[in-house]
Formats: sequence, C-alpha cells, structure tokens
Amino acid sequence: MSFSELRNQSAVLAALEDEHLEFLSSIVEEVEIAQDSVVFDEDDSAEAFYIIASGRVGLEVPVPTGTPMLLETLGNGDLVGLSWASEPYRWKWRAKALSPTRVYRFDAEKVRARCAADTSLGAQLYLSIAKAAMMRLQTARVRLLDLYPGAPG
Amino acid sequence: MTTVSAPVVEPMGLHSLKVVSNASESPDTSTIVLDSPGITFHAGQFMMLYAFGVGEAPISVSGNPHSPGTLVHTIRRVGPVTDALCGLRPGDSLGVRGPYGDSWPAGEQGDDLLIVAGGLGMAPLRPAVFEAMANRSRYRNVSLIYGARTPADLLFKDDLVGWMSTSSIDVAVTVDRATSDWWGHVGLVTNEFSRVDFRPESTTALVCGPEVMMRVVARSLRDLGVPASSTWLSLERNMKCAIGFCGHCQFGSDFLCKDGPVLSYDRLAWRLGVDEL
Ligand SMILES: Cc1cc2nc3c(=O)[nH]c(=O)nc-3n(C[C@H](O)[C@H](O)[C@H](O)COP(=O)(O)OP(=O)(O)OC[C@H]3O[C@@H](n4cnc5c(N)ncnc54)[C@H](O)[C@@H]3O)c2cc1C
Ligand code: FES
Repeated sequence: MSFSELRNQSAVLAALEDEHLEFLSSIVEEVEIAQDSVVFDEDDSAEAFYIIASGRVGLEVPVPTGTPMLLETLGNGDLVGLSWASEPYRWKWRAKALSPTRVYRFDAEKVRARCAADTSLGAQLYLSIAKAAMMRLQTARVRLLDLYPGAPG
Repeated sequence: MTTVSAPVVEPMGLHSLKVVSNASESPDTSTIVLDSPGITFHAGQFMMLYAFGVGEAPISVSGNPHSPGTLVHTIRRVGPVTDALCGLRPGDSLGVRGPYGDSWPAGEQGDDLLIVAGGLGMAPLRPAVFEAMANRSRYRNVSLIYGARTPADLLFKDDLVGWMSTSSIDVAVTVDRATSDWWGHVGLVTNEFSRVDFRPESTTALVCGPEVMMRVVARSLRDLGVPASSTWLSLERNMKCAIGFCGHCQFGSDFLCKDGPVLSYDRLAWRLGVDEL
C-alpha cells in the first residue's frame, strides 16, 4: 500500500509527513479478521496497533456471567489500540471484531524503535495519538454523566 | 433560511380529543395517537396536553406532519401529568391546546441536513425526519444520528429499521451501554460525525436531547466548521400558559413557548452554560 493511500484511511495518519508515512507503509500489513475473532485480549502484551479499513471493532469487558459489556465501538478510519504507545505495553481491554473486518496492522516494536530514533516521527505520531485519546477521554466523561433518561440499569 | 409560518391557533382554545391507541416504546415511554380532525402542525411544535383532573404538560408532536387527522405524542413518565397521559387507553379523552412554538428550519436548497437526537429528543425530531424524507430532493444528503442510554431505550425502532433500509438517509445509532450482541455503535453521538456524510459549511443541523448533550454537540459541530447560525436546538423549560403571558418559560431574553422552543446556537451559546438560567 502506498503512503498516500494510507493517509486517506485515517485522521490519525493524515497529519503525518510523507517520509513518516513512507516508513509506516513499509511495515503495514493488511489483515482480515473474521466476525467475533479477538484482535487482542486484556493484559496481553501490546504488540501492534491497527487502523480499521472496513468493519467494526468493539472494546469489551468480559463479565463472569453473560455477554461481555461493550465499552466503545470503533469503525472505519479509527485507531484500535493505545496501550502499545506507553509502558507497560499491555492491553487494558479486549478488542473483538463485531463484523467481518479489515485492518491495517503496524508492528508496535518497530514503530516505537523508529520513534525513539526519529524524534520528528515520534512527536507527530504521539501528538496524533494524543488527539485521538483526548477525544475518547472527553466522550467517555460525557457518557459518565449518564444523561439520557431511561429505565434504571 | 426558509422559515415556515405556524398554523393559526386559537390561543387558549381547548379541544377535547379521544385516544386512538397507546403503545409502549420503552420501559418508561409510551406513544399515544389522538383523533384530531382539523389540527395541523409543523415539525418541532408542541401541544399542551391536559390530563383531566391531574394537570397540563407541554409535549412535542412526534408524528408525521403530512398525516392529517391524528396527533402523535411520545411521553416519558416522570411525574403526575406524564404518568396520567401514559396511562390513557383507547377511547379515553384528554384536553389539547396548540400547536405552539416555532418549527425546525428547513435549511437551504442543496444543503446537507444533519439531525442529532439524544434520548427522548428523538420525539420532536421524528417529524423533522418525515419532513426531510417528504422533501428529499431539497438536500444533497440527509443524516440522522441517534443516541440512547441502552438498546432497550431506543424509541421508534420500526422507523429506524425502515430508514436504515433506504438510501435516502444515513442513519447512525449509538448507545451508552450495551453488551457485545448489540448491532449498533457504543459511544457518544459526536463519535458518529465521522461516519455520516455532511459538508460542515453547507449543513443545517437540528439537535435535541438533554441540554448538556446539546451543548457538547453544538460545540463539536462549531469546531468542525458548521456555522453557529446553522445549528438549531430545541430547549425545554417549565411552561404554563404557552402563549407568552406568564413568563414561566423565560430563558434570558426569550420566552421559549413563543420565541422557541427551537433556537439557533448563535442566539443561545452564551446562555447554555449559565447556572440555573
Ligand atoms: C416544549 C416542550 C416539549 C416537551 N416535549 C416532551 C415530549 O415530547 N415528551 C415528554 O415526555 N416530555 C416532554 N416535555 C417535558 C414534559 O413537559 C415534562 O416532563 C412534564 O411537564 C412533567 O410533568 P409531570 O407532572 O409528569 O412531572 P412533574 O412532577 O412536573 O416533574 C417531574 C420531574 O420532571 C422535571 N420536569 C418537569 N418539566 C420539565 C421540563 N419541561 N423539562 C425538564 N424537566 C422537567 C421536574 O423538574 C421534575 O424533576 C416537553 C417540555 C417542553 C417545555
Ligand atoms: S409558558 Fe407562559 S410565557 Fe411561556
């Protein structure tokens, strides 16, 4: 995949300079994930991050009895996985494909190593990730307010 | 901006109307259909519904403005009046005044129409969806983003399924909580902005839901480039006369019963965050 194609896939990548996207396009893998397959599981080592090309991924919490609770769903262009970016590099939640899903997979170790060596890539990529993380934090806070009327529970 | 003049109303004229049906929408919300020959309304307007012997409440019309002869209201049980209204059965009578208030604006020819509803806010916006579908050629694209607490709290499920099966409208449904067998999204309505098609500078946005949600939505739309004058919110305050006499519904310099309830964000922005206004 060319870096310009990659740029069009996601707001997280759109902000990066050509040379940085060129690096990411040299390591990207396109992966098909079957519906209901686990992309990564909680407490596993965070070895990659993903951008959704098509489909739907849910961040979920397994519960002892019954169907897992969905924390958030992610769709086309969304970044899946934040924990690869800071220590201890372990996933906090389970990510599962809720439909047949195609993702771009980036090897976390390679990206971290390159970011350490090339601070310009590091700054741009981490800024972009911070923006995505901030949006998720803000919307999670609004949801904590439990604004909508509804039956208790 | 096209504005539609409200139907002429005898200000305090009380009609006694009969209930045709009462159906449960969700655990605490019901939709009642009233036989209402001769009463017309525009999307976004409300009626004063009087449960005899209990009291009166402003309730938006949630039906199709192009289906004359019936009035449809979707009511959440929160206290004595709404409890009595939700408990009405076919054949029962109630008092009705209205319609009151202004309507949702139609937006400019060729614009994108973005409808954002949260919780019970879908009730006053449902007529706007019907209106948009009836005038579909007016818009380049029409989108509905609807957020609720859980899948069980979603209102108008049959409509949602119908709208999702046409290409005339993009529909994105999201909830705050769900289990992983839920087919829609989980997240705030603002997450859905990237999943529907609208050009911010040529968009008319209609927003209704809890006030904090409307604030967050209006600010996010502004940050994306939707002009504040093109974002319209429907506000709720306690009402009594509904005709601009008593002052119960005062919100800053506006009486929401006659200057609203639908107002543009540029008129509202500074007032929305003021405590107890
Ligand atoms: C223009 C307008 C349109 C409305 N449309 C609908 C609708 O389509 N469906 C619907 O179910 N409700 C609607 N409402 C709200 C509805 O009018 C109130 O829920 C109702 O008046 C409550 O009366 P009650 O006697 O059942 O409860 P009350 O005992 O009067 O109130 C119960 C609780 O609800 C709160 N409450 C009362 N009125 C309002 C209000 N206007 N806004 C916010 N909180 C309120 C009270 O503070 C109290 O906590 C609308 C209100 C307005 C102003
Ligand atoms: S309700 Fe009386 S002035 Fe608005």
